[in-house]
Amino acid sequence: MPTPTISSLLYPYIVGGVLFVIGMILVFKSDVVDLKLRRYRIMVIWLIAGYFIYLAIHSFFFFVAPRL
Amino acid sequence: MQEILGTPLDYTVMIGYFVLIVAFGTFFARYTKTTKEFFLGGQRFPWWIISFSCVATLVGSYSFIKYASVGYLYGFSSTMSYINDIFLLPIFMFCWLPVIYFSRVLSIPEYLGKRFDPRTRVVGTIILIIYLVGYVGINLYTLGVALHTLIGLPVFWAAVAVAVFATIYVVAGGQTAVIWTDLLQAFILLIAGIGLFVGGIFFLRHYGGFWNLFPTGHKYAMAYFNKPPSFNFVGVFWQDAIANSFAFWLMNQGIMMRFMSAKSLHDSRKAALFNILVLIIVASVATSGGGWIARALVSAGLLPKTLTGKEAFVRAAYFLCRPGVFGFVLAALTAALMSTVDTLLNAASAVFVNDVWRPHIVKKAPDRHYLKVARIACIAGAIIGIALVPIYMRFKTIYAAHGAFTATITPPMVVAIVLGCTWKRYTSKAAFWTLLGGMILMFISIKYDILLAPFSCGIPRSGWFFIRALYGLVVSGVIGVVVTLFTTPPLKEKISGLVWRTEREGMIKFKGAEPNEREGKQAVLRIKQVELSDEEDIVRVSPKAMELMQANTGDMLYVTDYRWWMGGLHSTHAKAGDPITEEEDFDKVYVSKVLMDRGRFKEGMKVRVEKIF
Repeated sequence: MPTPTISSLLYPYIVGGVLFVIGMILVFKSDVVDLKLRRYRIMVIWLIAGYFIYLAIHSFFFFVAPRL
Repeated sequence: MQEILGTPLDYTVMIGYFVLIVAFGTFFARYTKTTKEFFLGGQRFPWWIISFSCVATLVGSYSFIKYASVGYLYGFSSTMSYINDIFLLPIFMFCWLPVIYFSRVLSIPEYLGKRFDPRTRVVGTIILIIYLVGYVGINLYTLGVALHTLIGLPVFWAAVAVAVFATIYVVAGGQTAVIWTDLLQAFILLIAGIGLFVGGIFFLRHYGGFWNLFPTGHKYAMAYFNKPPSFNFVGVFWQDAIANSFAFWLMNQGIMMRFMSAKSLHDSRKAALFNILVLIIVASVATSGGGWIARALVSAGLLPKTLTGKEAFVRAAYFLCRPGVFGFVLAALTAALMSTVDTLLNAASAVFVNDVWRPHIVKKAPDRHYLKVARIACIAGAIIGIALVPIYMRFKTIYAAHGAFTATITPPMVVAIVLGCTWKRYTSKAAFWTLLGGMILMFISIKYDILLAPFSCGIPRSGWFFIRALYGLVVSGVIGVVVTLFTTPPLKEKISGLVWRTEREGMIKFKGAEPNEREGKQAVLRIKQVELSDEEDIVRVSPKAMELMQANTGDMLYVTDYRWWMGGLHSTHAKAGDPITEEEDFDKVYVSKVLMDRGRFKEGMKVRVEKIF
């Protein structure tokens, strides 16, 4: 199997990222999500953190793990 | 001649597991007295049960064999199919969940009917019933094949045995049994899968170590962008990360019912978040790990180089496990199946009762009538599923046809649901034509695959089947948008509570009053049964407890057993009544006889009380 190129890492986080951002816009504009309330704030923070956690995991197994 | 794996001890462990699951599931029959309890478990469960039980539903009977095979052949990129649901999570948590939770719909077709019109509901009902029942058959068939390969059981009888065991506890305990058995089965799956992976790593220390034995090219988390045709990044992304993930979270009737079984919308959201951020990663390692270990065992010369992907999981497990432990791994394989089949049976029953029987056959009958029909529908679903097994065995084209049918319906249904719950302007006619037109164009693409060329992303033609999902999403989306723009927008009142930015109206309808979202804490109190003649659905607590919870009279409260691990089995929702005035009872919660029975409380029982909203 050919060695993966950077496009395999960037594609999901750009195309999927657009979907994720649209989703987050819907969250911020929702009429029930009040970010002054702690429970909503924590969820939104975890959602955004989740995106970057996945990006970090995939980046590790792209740039670091194959060279270890 | 076929080699039969396992020892009598392994078979004993496996049979013991079956008996344990059936006994455990049927225990919950006592918690199922109404259709709401049969389909939604009484909406009483905390987030962690929902989240863990979803893992067992997510991991199907084929998962261990399929993903271990991909892991063996391609390495860590086998996880691509699992760990990519983060992109859809905001839409699922904040657009779809509030809509279904507050609108009190019991099924996807019912949502389509309320949001659009009866004919869209009929199309949705037909699609979902064919999908669900056919899928029961496919799961039974794949497990039958797996057990036949492993221990020589005839495919049909292996499928019958599993179907009978699963049906017994689903019929008895409904959603409560499904959720609790799936919780148990999730632990079994994860322990077996992760145990095999970790055990393999420890074992391979003596042969140079797993990391050194694992090929460098296998250490990438993503495959090459568009080659080879059989496994490439972009194809898996559109098929699994987008189409199948949206389908799993948004159009899977069983998953919808699971999240509606949570005690509150907040718990549903927490369950989804924890599942996607934590459990799916663990599940992906559990299902693929056997294949990774098998690859390292081959590199170490401990398994033959001729080992195929399909054999990877079983061979690695058999090589590493002692007698009895291998039986546990076999039990995990069957757990993966049973936990998918039980969910499908309960879901098919819900669609049949809610969208066929109640609206078209017997319109107004006591709840116990519908409960009886639900149980019969479960049995009928299992029988049809079993009947499909020999058909799938004999006519591979029918097996393939159901696969093609699933692939065909998924993109139009996903588009109809996503646009339906996020776009107020989206019309009934547009939804109907999204479903019908999308399916027709998907069928045409099977016959004329040249239509997929503009979406191929450079994948060679033999791999274009991967990209059909992208084609389907685009053409269904275009139909939906174009028809919407040429048709009259729906009335505001009609879509109230059924689409994004009307959730608050849904909340008000659900509660029957303005929601109170001030953040409070749980109060720990003791149950006291009293006569509450004016309204039986209320509970009363002290002014101090009301203040602690930040609750007002009329707010929705949730009363549950103090022991968290009881998972809401002894619990109920109720409205907050006027505060207690008797000072000696300030550590009590007043509960009527009706709520005592519904919550299965006992006098003096220690409970937690919290405000929902």
